Amino acid sequence: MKKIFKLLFVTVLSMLLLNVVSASTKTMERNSSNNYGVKKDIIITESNMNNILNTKYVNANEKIYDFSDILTDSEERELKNKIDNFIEKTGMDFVILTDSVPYYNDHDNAIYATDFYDYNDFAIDYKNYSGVILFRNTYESDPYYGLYTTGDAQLYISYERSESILDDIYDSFVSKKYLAGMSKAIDEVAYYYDAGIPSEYEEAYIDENGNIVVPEHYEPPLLVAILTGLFATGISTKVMVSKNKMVYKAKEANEYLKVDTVKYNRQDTRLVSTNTVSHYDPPSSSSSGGGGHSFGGSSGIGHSGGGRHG
Amino acid sequence: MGDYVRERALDNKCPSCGAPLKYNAKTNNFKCEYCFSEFTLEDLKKYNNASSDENNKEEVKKVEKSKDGKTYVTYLCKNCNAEIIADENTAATFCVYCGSTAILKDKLSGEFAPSKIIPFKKDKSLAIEAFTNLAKGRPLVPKSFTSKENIEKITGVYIPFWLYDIKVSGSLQAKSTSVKTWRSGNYTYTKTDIYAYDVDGEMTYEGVPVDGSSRFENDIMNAIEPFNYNELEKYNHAYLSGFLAEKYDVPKDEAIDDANKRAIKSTTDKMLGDLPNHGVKTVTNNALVPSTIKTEYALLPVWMVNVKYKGEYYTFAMNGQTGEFVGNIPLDKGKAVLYFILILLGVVAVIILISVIVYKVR
Repeated sequence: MKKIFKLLFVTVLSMLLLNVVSASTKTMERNSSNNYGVKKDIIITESNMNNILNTKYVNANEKIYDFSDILTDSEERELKNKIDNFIEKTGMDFVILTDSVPYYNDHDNAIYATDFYDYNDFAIDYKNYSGVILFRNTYESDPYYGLYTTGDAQLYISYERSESILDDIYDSFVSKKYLAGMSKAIDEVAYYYDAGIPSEYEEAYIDENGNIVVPEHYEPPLLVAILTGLFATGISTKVMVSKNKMVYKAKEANEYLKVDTVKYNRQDTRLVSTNTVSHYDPPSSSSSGGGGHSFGGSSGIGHSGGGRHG
Repeated sequence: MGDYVRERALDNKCPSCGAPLKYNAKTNNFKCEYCFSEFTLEDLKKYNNASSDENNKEEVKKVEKSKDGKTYVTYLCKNCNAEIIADENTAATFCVYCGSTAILKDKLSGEFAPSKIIPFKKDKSLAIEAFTNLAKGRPLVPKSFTSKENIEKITGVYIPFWLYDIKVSGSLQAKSTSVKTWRSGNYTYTKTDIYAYDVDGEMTYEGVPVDGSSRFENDIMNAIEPFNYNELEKYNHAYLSGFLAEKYDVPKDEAIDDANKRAIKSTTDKMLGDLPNHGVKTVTNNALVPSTIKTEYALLPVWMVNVKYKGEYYTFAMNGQTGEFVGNIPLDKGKAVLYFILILLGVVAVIILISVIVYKVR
């Protein structure tokens, strides 16, 4: 009898555990009665309504949303443990999202991921809704992955750090070793949190819209001023010195020419050779500059981050 | 010092009272500063003084002696019998005792007889004004440079000039490269045309002046050109009254090189300039030949002053006919350094100020 109870207990516990840690693909309905699932301080307008309604509404406690079903249950558990540790340590959220979403450009991926972060309750109790979302778009014709930050996480994960993380997990994502790649991403974000805010953002802060603000300090353009001053002084001195020099050697006798004595016996002009060459020189196309590190999501909240194809 | 015969230097005495006469550049007359009589050149020719036809024809003997390796000539002042010592090139000077003009006629006769002269048209006051105004608009002029002491040294001098009439004739070959670039569609086209020029002709220059005295810097004499030859007069000693004068020591056959070079350069430029313009022309063969049509020896009026500054002499000259004033002014290095620092600090301050304003506005 004891054995039967023990077996039943283990079975029920296992089922409970599986239900708790396994990635959920359950979504809830967004409607006016639940403010379309938006509990954050986001103004719902006509322009972002479509984004909100198209964003899957999920339970924000689960952290791993494997709509592409690329993670095993054990992998999800392992990742969830890491995320829980991360959240406890940093006071920032961490979300893993996988889905297959057609897109036209990289920015579509960024908007999809950050809408998911913004229009769900991630980091709702944290300062500036700080957190990170790791998005894997398994869109068959052009897989993509991106790492996007919100709130104070933007200060810790600068452009260089974000690029470094994306590079470091590239091989894992391309070879579909998602546990390794995602674990590495969580570890590296945690590592950079420990390293502190990089010097470029030492005095930066996140404004009310979630954007990074780097205070500008006045730095007198001394080098430019001195170089310009030297140039101007050189020219002025040359002019002043030249004013003191009035003597020159006459090399011509134009004043003494009797114009009516000018006589030409021959004035020939001959085109000796002519040569025309052409070279292909298309107008230079201006680069888009890569889109930058920071961007605003449809919610109006500022984010940072980037991604890779593969 | 050996024995020497004393000859009397000519002066220009007032026919009324015997006092020295001076040429007045403003009135073109000769005025006595003592009895205020005024005479024209024609009036004076009636009397036996420097302006007379007789004295303008005859040559006076001179005695020379060597002193300090240079040749000096001693004359006796006609007015006070004092010795007037002049170097071999001085043709007119003053008696240091009575201030009378001393025209050393032997320096202005025979082969040294000028055929033409342009009398002074600008008087000393204008030369003083020009020299005084040197500092205006020239911040690096030393403060003491235009002092009264220096201004008093300004002297009117008749400088010997050779005036050459030169005909330049011959041929000239040149070439030029014309490059045009234009764009059509996605292509840039470059067209390079090479032209050859051949010109043959002649032209004449009248009165190209060359300073005939080695004592004066040619560059300074060049810089006060041109003189207006319409005011050339037949030479007469009387015009030298009140001024210094020099005789030439650079023979006309030697001085003509400068005139020829200038005439050839101008002819080359004129010939090339009269051809169609297809880019910068480079002369490939210059067969222009100058030939002298006529040479005249003339005395031309120049106000001069030599200023000593920090052990060096600086010569300034004003064209006594047109008023053109030239000379190289020494730099006051202290002022130069001061201006350099002030301008540098000023520009730096302005740029910093602008950057602060831009920063505040943003």
